[in-house]
Amino acid sequence: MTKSNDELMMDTLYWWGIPTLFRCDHKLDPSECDIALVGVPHSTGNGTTERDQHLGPRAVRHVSAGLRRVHFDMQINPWEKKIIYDLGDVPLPEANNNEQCIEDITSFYKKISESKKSVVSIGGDHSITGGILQGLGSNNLSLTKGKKISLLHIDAHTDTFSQLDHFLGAKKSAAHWGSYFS
Amino acid sequence: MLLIGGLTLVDDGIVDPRTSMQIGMRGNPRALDWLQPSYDLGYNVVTMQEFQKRGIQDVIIKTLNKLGDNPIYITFDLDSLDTSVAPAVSNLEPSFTGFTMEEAKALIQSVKNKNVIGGDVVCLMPIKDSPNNITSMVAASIMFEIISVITY
Repeated sequence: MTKSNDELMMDTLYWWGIPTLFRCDHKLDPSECDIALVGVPHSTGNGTTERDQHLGPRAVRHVSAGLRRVHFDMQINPWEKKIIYDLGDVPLPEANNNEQCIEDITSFYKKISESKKSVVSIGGDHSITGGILQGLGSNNLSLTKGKKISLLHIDAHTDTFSQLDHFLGAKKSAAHWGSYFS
Repeated sequence: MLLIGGLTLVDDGIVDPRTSMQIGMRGNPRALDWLQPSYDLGYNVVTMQEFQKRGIQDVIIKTLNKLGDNPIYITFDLDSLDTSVAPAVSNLEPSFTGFTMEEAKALIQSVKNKNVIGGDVVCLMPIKDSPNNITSMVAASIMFEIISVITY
């Protein structure tokens, strides 16, 4: 479905309309999409700095419509080529309890993995990746037909901290996620 | 397999460290042996200094060889970018130069023909961002790259 030039112009105004991720439709059920986008507003897995990383998904939703563009280097239009939904945020009712949040994140992504969809997330501190991978790898890695997942991990830190078994009290922390599921 | 706090254990492992890459590590750490746990787990580590010495094409070739045909998950910590590119992140490493956007994009785009099952962008600190929200826009730009390699 090709959009009119007026629609295309409006779509990329960050201040216009409802601020979903990249102005994708907000739907809770991923079964009809190709790619799911998810916010993970979690910040109790780190704590070495100000605790505001849970504000990340909202901040990105605020600006991301402005980046709903075609990919010029790759010569593709992801928004037309794929059905992409914003599933909203992972519910984290015990936000100050890191271990419970990681379990909640795991449950959320387990459901996505059962629908066999690709998923791109915005955090959140880095502890979310442990929960996400636990979820995507659930049911004996059925999403990947039993194949273990390879990480392309781009970071200033290894996140395989082992000097302590916790990070300021968080067990499955932003500093540990790279080691506890390997 | 590693025990965390005596209770956290995942049967048989979800991630294969030997076919995984950790790229961009930098900064003066708390201890001289800070990379050792990653080596012990079997991760392939490319520090920022090694990246700069070897050049991006060489690192990409090694990355593609290691990742092979496995399902790939991209996890992107915004602190890997230079602090001037992404100032509002949680654990800044100002003493070493970080990635430019071009380098970060090239690393992500290198897996466009592979089986990328997902990815994430983490460690944005919105209350520290510039009034123009530049780090949020950078975070969205990295998300867009991951969405695009999955689409490709």
